[in-house]
Amino acid sequence: MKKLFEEIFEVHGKICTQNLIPGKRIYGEKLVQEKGIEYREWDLFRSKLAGAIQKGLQQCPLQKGSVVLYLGISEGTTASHISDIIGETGIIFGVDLSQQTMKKLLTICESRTNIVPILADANQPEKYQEYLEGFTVDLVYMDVSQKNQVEILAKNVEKYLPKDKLAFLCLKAKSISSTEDVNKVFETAEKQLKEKFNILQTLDLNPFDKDHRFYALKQKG
Amino acid sequence: MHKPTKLDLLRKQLLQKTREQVQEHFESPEASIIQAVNTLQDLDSVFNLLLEHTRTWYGLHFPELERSVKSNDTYLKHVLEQGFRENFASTEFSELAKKSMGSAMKKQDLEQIQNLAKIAQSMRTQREQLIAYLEQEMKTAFPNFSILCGAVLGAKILALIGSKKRLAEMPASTLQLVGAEKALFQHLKTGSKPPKHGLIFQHPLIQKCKRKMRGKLARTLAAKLSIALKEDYFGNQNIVADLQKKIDARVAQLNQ
Ligand SMILES: C[S@@+](CC[C@H](N)C(=O)[O-])C[C@H]1O[C@@H](n2cnc3c(N)ncnc32)[C@H](O)[C@@H]1O
Repeated sequence: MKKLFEEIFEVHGKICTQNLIPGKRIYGEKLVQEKGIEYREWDLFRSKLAGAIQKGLQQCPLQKGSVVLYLGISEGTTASHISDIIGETGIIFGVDLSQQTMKKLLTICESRTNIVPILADANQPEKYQEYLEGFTVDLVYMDVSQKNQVEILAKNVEKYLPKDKLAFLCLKAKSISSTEDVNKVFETAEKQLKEKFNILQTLDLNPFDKDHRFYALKQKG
Repeated sequence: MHKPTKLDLLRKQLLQKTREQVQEHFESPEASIIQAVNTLQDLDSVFNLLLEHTRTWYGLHFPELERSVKSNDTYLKHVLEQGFRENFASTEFSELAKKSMGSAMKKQDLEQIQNLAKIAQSMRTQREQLIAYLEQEMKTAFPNFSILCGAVLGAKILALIGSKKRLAEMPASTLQLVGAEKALFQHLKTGSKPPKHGLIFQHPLIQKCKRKMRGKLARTLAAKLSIALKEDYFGNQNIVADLQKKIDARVAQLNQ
């Protein structure tokens, strides 16, 4: 067993997190035992953060007790592993727009008390201001399939993320433009990102996710 | 870092609120979907009536156009944009217009016809909006069923049955005959041929299928749609791909 980042391990060659609720699976992932501790295998094809780690992510600010603002939490596949990492003292504010996916997320929130659901549009960060009041966000994680992804990220970061903290962005070229050349789309998006952020790292998520890039970002200034 | 007590409260509050929002969303849309699809069907029949009047009335002036333009939208466009026969000179119908057997028409007559045509045309826009609305709402309320059945057809079936719950609890054999009630009644009363199909027969896959095989395909389709409806009501998985694969396999088998 190898430790990759805080609370992220490699068990028998697979990226894993320690199961917060032993015995329970979230999305059909494999459970593995190692020295009496249960780990959940982190599916590289189902979670872009796992894909990014596999492709050589250099820093991950998550640790026990971290506060995460997760935009586009969806059904909680990735969030469940973050929930493992940050443990019971941490918290994920999970924002998503879709009632359909929220319905599923709610069942996870019942048992994983460190995930708090917020049904809202990430385009309107002021809508969840009252809930985040008094918390210091350690990481903004964003994975929303929207045309104006970069703009949404900028709005939220400006409002909620301290200057010294990181943001992770999964960018899907096809949701920005389905016709334009993929590299062009990324080029434009990166130019836009650089107005506000220093890009610490760019990872191409191929073969786990096609035409996706993962960015580690820090605000400028 | 945070204080656990505050977090506990916040968590409870948000869990409750989100649960309510989600529940509300899943309960309310059916009523609106039913209204929308009923409106759509009435809109279509009113449109057809208005169009018929437009075509007959304008046909007095330019009967040849009525016969050569099948598309309703194109027909309306010509009535509105050209109007008098003399204005067709720059169109593909210039020869027809020149040789037309139609009678002359006063300006006031044309105005009345064009008013009719305008209403009919605006109903097309309204129709598109209704369909877009139905697609959106059906997808949310029936993520599996609406994709497999098609939003509009699915909404028609929903409108006849009345609620998501009843649809989910309905056996596939009944689902297959929804919309055939009239014929079924006829069959019981007069001993005419029993109906083989209900609304499901409007599904494009059945329309494209070999005639002799349609009944068989309807049965498969009803069975899979029924599974989709149950998942949409009782579960929350997306099983579209799996069901679609099975339907496609059956289609291929029947069309061999
Ligand atoms: C690709 S999925 C995210 C998958 C998830 N991050 C994971 O790895 O498990 C994108 C999600 O973004 C959500 N979304 C899209 N637009 C949004 C918006 N404006 N605000 C909040 N969520 C949005 C969608 O409902 C969808 O659940």
